[in-house]
Amino acid sequence: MFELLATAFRRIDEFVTGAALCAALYILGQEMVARWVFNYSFTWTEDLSRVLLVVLVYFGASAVASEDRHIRVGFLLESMPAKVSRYLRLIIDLACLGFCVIAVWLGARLVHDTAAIGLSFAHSGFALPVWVAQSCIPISFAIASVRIAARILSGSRRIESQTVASEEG
Amino acid sequence: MVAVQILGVMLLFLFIGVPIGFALWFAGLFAVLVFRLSSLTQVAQSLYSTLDNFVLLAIPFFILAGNIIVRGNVATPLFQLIQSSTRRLPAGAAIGTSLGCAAFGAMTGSSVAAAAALARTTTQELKRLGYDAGFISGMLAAGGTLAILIPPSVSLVIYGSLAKISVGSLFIAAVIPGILMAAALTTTTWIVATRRYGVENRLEPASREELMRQALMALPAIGIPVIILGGIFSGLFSPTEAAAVASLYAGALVCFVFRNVGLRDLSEVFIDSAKSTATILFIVSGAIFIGHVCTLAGLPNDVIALLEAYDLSWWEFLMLVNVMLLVLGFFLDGFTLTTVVTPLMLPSVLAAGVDPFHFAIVLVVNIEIAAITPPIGLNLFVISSVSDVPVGDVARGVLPFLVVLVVMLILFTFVPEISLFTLK
Repeated sequence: MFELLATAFRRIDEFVTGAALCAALYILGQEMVARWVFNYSFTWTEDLSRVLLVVLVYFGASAVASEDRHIRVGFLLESMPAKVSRYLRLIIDLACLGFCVIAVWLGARLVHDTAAIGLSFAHSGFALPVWVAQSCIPISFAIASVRIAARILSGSRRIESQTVASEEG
Repeated sequence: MVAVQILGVMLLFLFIGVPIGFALWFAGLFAVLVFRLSSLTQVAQSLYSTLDNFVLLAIPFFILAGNIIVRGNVATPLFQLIQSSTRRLPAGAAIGTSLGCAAFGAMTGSSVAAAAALARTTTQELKRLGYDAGFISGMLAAGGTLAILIPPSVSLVIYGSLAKISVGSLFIAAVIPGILMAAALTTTTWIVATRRYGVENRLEPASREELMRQALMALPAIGIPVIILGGIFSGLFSPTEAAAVASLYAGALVCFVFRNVGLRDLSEVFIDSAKSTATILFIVSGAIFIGHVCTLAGLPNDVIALLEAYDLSWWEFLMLVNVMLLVLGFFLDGFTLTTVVTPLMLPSVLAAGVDPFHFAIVLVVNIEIAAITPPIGLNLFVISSVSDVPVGDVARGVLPFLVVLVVMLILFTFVPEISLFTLK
């Protein structure tokens, strides 16, 4: 069940992050054509493309975190005995999961506070409330939490089965 | 002292293998919770505001353009033209490969992409001509690092957005150092190759017709650096817009001219590029926050006090920073070096009287060196895996080029005019 959810979230992460990049490229392309060809500039382009960048980064980071592909200094982990390395990786994964949960809480607080103030991008003619843009933080970190938890569970099952196999062997 | 403790926690997290972006945010949270340097509300705001920057949008577009170029083999005709043009020279094939690295760097801005793409296309041919695998892979690993310095460089975009200085001017500042570095690495290639394989190591020169045909084929590829650099230098585009135009142009080339990348491939390229961007920018966001926290903890003042206590001049300070960066470069990859060092060191560097554009070039050359020094040197591993050569052989092959990089670093450190000349 948990792993099914994680697979569904993987598709969401990849779709959102890829679509955000595509949309940002389209918006910037449209802005440049409007400026050069029609001597006209859209006031909301920069705000929207910045929102798309934040969405791209957090959903992309969620995808990368759950695939365990974030850049790390791995030489110490690789030079340790396999068993110690496996347990240290598990602790690191749990710590990352902890950070994601904290980020969900902090992001939700940020969204709540911004909504209470009623901030929006209206100054640039882009009538999106700022809290809608900020909500990508709690949502993406919530997805990352589920996916990292699924990875930890499957990893710990692997460690368990390896331990049983080595004890039986 | 508080700043030292925060940095200590950050380094501890980094070295035990915590993903770098998380390690930076952990250290930031530690500073907030233990030393009360900021509030949790500030942390929440920083999660958003650190990335809310239009200049950073250049990074996904440069990565996207690079990935499309690699997927569609867009650079191959240009590379073949360079190789054909250098055939008549002693060790011409090796020189052509080295120059090809510079040309590739001017198109992609990614050292790993340049090194991997060139290793795939050249290794077999160079081996057939009698060059040994260690020399080839060392040359490619070092040549790939040119992409870090030659504009458009993703590291320079990151530095510019963190230092809040013009990325376009940074690109202009990097032109002369980039050309000098390319010349130095190509000369090294020529010296090593002619010494090992003899000056008679020449190939049948390409005919004029062949060169003309290859030049025509290479025209679309030449358009990419022309659009990026010409657009930025002429003031027609901002770096972000230039990166977007380069992506659209590269996309149009592979879809409509070369017709070798389908829609499914293109969607994969978009997703991969977005994920690579996320990996880098998540680190950037953490680095901006830790830089902010360390400034609140008084790190710049501590460094200034140190400078005053030891009465260090700007070049002594910069040499000290170089030594620190070289040591850090053994363990941290280039992006981490840029993102961690820039916000932490820049206030101190400015206080020491070093120009931020000069420091950018010094930092980027340190990143080039970090890319080819074990145990973390990313290019060594990429070349090793693509060319199927043991990492030890690649590291040995890279040694002469590493010496040249260090010499160039010292030159760029002591002669700021090399970096600042084009800005004047």
